Amino acid sequence: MPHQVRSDTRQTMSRRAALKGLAVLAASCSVACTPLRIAMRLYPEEFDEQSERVDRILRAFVETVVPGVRIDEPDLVRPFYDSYYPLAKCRGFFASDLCNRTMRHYSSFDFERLSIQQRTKIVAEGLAEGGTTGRVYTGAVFLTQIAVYAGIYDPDRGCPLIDFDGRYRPQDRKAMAYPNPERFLPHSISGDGNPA
Amino acid sequence: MQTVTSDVLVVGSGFGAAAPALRLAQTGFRVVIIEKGPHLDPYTSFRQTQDPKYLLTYLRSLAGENLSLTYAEALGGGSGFYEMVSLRAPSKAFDQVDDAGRRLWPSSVDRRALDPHYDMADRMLHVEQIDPQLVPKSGLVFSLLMKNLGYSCERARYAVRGCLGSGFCVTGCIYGAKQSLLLNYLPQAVKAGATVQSDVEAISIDTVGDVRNTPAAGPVNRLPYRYDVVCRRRDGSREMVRHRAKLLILGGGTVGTARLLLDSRRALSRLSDQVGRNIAFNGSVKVAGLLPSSFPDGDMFAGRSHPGMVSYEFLESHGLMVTAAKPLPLQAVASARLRLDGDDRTPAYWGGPHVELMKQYRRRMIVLAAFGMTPPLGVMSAVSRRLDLRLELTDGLRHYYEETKRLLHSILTRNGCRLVTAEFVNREGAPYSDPHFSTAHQVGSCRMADTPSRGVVDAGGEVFGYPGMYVSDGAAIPTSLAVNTSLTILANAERIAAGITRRYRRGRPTIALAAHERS
Repeated sequence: MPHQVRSDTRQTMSRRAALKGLAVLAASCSVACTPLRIAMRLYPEEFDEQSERVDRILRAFVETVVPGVRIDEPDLVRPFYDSYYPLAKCRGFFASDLCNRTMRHYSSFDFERLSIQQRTKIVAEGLAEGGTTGRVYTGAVFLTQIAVYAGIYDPDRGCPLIDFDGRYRPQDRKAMAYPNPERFLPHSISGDGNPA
Repeated sequence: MQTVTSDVLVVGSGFGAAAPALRLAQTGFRVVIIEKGPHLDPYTSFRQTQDPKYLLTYLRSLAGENLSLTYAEALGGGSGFYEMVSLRAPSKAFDQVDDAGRRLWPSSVDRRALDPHYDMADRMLHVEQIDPQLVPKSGLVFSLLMKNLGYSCERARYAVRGCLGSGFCVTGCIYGAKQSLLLNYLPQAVKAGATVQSDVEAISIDTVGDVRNTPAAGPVNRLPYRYDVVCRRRDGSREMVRHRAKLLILGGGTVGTARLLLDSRRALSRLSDQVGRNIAFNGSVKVAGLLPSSFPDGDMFAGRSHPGMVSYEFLESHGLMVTAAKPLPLQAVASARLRLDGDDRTPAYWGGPHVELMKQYRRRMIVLAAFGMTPPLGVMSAVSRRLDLRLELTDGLRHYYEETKRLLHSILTRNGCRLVTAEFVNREGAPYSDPHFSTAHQVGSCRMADTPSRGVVDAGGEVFGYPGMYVSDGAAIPTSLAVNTSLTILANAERIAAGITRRYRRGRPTIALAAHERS
C-alpha cells in the first residue's frame, strides 16, 4: 500500500508540473521549496480533495494537538477547509507532509494510524522545520487550539474539555460570585474606586 | 463628486468623537458624524461568540515592532467592545515629564481641570462602583491574593446598568446593559439634530482657501467653510463624497486620526512633525499562575469580563495599577502559548501537558495584569498606504517590563501559586523574541502640547496652524494613564467640546439639556 501511494505521488507530481507548463529543471528544483510546493500544488492530488482519508489525517492531527478532544466532533477539522483562514490553502500540502514524515520515520504513509506519541513526534518535527513548513505547522497548531478551546463554530457547544459553555446560560448569582464577599476584600485606599 | 456641507464634521464616533458631536449639536450647530466602520444596533448586532470572523468585522489590530494595538472600527468606536471599566486617571499621570524634565501634558490640563468633565462622563455613562455582591469569583480571588500580602484593593467602576454577568462584554453586550455610546451620546446627538453616516471612510483633508485668515472665534453662522474631507463609502458602492465643514473634529482614534493626518500632510503643510509620534501604551504586562489548593476557585468565564477589582497599591511606588484579567478562551489562546513553569515535557504548549493546563484554566488559573506609566515611545508612519508601527525597546523599557513581571510574579509565588509561562505570539502563532507590548489603551499619536514643536494640538485640542480643526480623541492624550483610557478620553473630549462651544456659540443653546446632565 505505501509503495502504491508513493508511485501515485510521482505520477501526480509530473502530470501537474506539466500542466503548469514548468520546465523539468524548474520543477525538480521546486520540490525542495515549500512555498512553490504549496503554490504549484506539487503533492498528490488526493490531498487536495475533501476525502475521508484527508479528513482522518486532519482529525488525527487535531487529536495530537488537543488530546482528549472528541474525534467525531463535526466541526473538528472545519478550520482547515474554511477559506477565511490561510491554512485552507495549505491543507493539501500539510496533510501530504504529515504522511511523508510518517513514511520517513515509520515506513508507512498512514499518519492517522500512528499512536499519539508517534504523531506527536511527527508534529514536533514539522514545527521544528524552518521557513514555510515550520510556519504552516505553527499556524496549524495555533488555529487548532483556537478552534477547539474557543469553540468558534458552535457557541452552543463551546468546549466541554475545558468547561467553556460557549455562550451565557442563565445562572444564579451563586455561580458567579461568593456569598459574603467582604471576607475576600482587603482594605481600600480610595473613597470611590478612583485613584487620587 | 457629491459635496455635503455642515457646520461641523466629526470624523469617528467613539469616545473622543461622540461628546463633541452631542455638545455641538445641542448648541444648535449642523453636525455630521462619519464613521468608517459599520452601523451597530445595541440590541441586535452583538453576538455571544468566540468566532474570529464576527470579532474581526469590528476589531482591527496594528502589529509592529515590539508593540501591537487593537482598536475598533464600528459605530460607537470601542465602546461596544470594551470591558466597561471607567476610572479616572491618577493625578500622578498628569505630572509625567519627558527626558528633559518638561511636563508632557499642557500646563493647563491636569486631573483637577478634568474632574468636572469626568463628572459629566460618569453621569452620561451611569458609571458606578461595582456592588461587592457582583464581584466575580476571579476578582475575589485576586483580592485575597492582595489581602494575604497586606496590599489594598478597590472595587472598580463600570459603565453598566442591570448587568447580568454574562461574561461576554468584550464581544458586545446583547442585553444593552453595557453603557456603550450607542445608548447615550450618539442617539442624543441624533435627537439634537446630528446626522450619522456609517461605512464612510475619510481619506484626506484639504483646506478651503487660506484658513489662517479666518475668524478664530465668533458665531458659527458667520464662519466660512474651511475644510474639505474627501471620503469613500464602504457600503459596496465605493462612491467618493466630499464633506465641506466650518469646523472639523477628528475623533477616529489614536490610529485613525494619525493616519488621516499623515495621509493629508501634503495639503496640510503646517502640521507639526509630531503627527504619529509619542504613542503611549499603558505598559501592559500580564502574568499567570495556578492557585494553590488552599484557595477557593476563581472562574474565568462567569461574571462580567473584567474581574471587578483593581489595586492602586503600587501607584505611588512604581506608577502601576494592578488588576486581574479574565480572558475568554479565544483571547487567551490567540495571545499566548501557555505552559506550566518547570514542566520539562516537550511539547509543553500543545499536546497532553497543555490540555492538562487548559483543564485548570477556568477555575484554578489566575491572570494578573499591570498598567504602567511607560513613556510615549511608539511611532507610527505611513509607508505607501501602509501603516508602520514601531517601539524602541530602551533599557528603561526593558527594565520596566522585567521589574513589573517580577513584581506580579512575586504576588503569585508569595501566595503559593505555581507560575504559568506565557509566551506571547504574533498573528501567525509564532512567539515574539523580545518583550512585546500589546494594548487597546493606545493614546498620543497627535498629542496636546503647549507648542507645535512638542505636539500636534494645543490644550484646547485645536491643531496648531489650522484654526477650526480639532483632535478630540485618544490621539490627543499625551501620556500613559496607568488605568483604562476610555473615561479620560471621553472627559477630555467633553472638555474640548466645551471650549469649542464657548468659542463658536451663536446665542443660547437651542437644545435643552437632559435632567441628569443639569444635575
